[in-house]
Amino acid sequence: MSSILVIDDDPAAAKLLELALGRVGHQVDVARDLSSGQRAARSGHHDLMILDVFMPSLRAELGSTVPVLVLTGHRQEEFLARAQEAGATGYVTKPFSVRDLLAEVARLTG
Amino acid sequence: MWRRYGDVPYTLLVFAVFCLEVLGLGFLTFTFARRLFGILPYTQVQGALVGVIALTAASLSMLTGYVLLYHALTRSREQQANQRIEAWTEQWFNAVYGDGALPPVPLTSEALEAGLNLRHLMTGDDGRQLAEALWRTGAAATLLAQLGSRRLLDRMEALDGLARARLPTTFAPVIRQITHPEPVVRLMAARAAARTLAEWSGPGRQEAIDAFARGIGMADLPSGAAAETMLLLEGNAPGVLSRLLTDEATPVSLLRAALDVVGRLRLGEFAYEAAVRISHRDPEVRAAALRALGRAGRVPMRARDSVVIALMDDTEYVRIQAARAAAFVPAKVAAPALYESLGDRSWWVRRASAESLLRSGKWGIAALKKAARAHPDRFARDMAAQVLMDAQVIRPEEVSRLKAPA
Repeated sequence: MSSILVIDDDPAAAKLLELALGRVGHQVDVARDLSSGQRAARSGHHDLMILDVFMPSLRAELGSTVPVLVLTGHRQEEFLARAQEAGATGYVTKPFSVRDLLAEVARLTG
Repeated sequence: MWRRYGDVPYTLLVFAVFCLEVLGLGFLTFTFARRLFGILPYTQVQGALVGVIALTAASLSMLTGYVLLYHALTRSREQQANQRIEAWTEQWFNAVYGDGALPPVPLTSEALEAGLNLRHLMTGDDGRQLAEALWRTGAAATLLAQLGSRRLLDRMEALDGLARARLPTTFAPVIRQITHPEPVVRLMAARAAARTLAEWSGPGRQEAIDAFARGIGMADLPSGAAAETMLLLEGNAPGVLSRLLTDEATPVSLLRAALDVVGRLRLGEFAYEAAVRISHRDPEVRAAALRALGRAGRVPMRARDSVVIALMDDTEYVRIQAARAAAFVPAKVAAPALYESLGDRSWWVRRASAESLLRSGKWGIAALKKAARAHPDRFARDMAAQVLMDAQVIRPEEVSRLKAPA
């Protein structure tokens, strides 16, 4: 199973991710803001990062090369294309099906 | 917001401080006046002054103390509330997956909040199970009772909760609020109904689509708000749009909103419905129809001439959208008109025309090169050259060669 870092300032979303991913055996670390997320990302022991914030240069900001799954409320193609250009490896739109989320996580952690 | 609770004690305290200050200043004025007329000795004036300053200091200390105490208590109270909400979230989650019992009925406000927050995030089979759990524990009944309140704030909170819950059984009461006299309630009701309808796939779906299409027509929302609301319909948007775009009685502002949604969701199947509005009497509808075609990336064959004619519309923003939509008209039909539009008096029309020519393949690029070289309008020549350079079709040093007379 994988080690996953969740960066989400919405307590409900962070808790849901923690419960859903923990239920299938992933080790989940939760950061509630970007600066603590950046610190955790630099520790380098995660296999995947899930975040709900969009930054123009995701990878540079996070200082990490692990896959990044963006959790977003935006459904418009332009936004999703920009997220991918910025370094997101995948995305899941809110609201989401836990089954789809786990499938995407499984794909990215291979 | 820095204060979330305790409005009444805070108001009473501020009022008490205000009254003390008014009394103190009144007494001070009276004392100084008596001194001015020589009625009072100076020592008594000094005493009054010191007394009023001490009163002011005490009042300010009381106010500051209250604010500091408020923040200290609120912080710990919010932390405790967040912990309880997290525990309820876990209980709802475990109940959905069969690992635990549902929260006890009647739900506490924190249990309800946790359930609604979770439902707001979850869709699919798990989301539907959670919706059913919310129904069984009386969450819907609580929210519907709140919706019947006379207080506006209660109604708004109920609609916010119902939008998050997305329970088909609450659709009818929500849609009834769409004619409420308060615009904010109408908007929130429309958004809650749209979010509920978005997930509706079972029996009653068509009736709900019809009810929503009728309701949004009666909501009298500004065009932008109506469009944003209809975007929430997701997979059921085409059903509602079909009703609105085929109904002759659809108000103009709603028609604009529907066309905007066609474009933003790139619903090419409504290209014909958009195309017939290119010659609408309202320029904003004409622009919305052309924008929809441009965004959907499809111009029906019978609408090609209309798009080309719209390049000569009197209204600038209609011509801009026509130039953008013309990119999806075959170049041999659109290129001559776009070539002419490069000389339009509006910079935006010239730019849109040049970009559409660029997208039209080799015919369009040939027309742009010709325009850069030989268009009778100087601004058209500059725009054609600029767009060719931006797209790296030509290098900057080639521009002067292109513009030089043969």
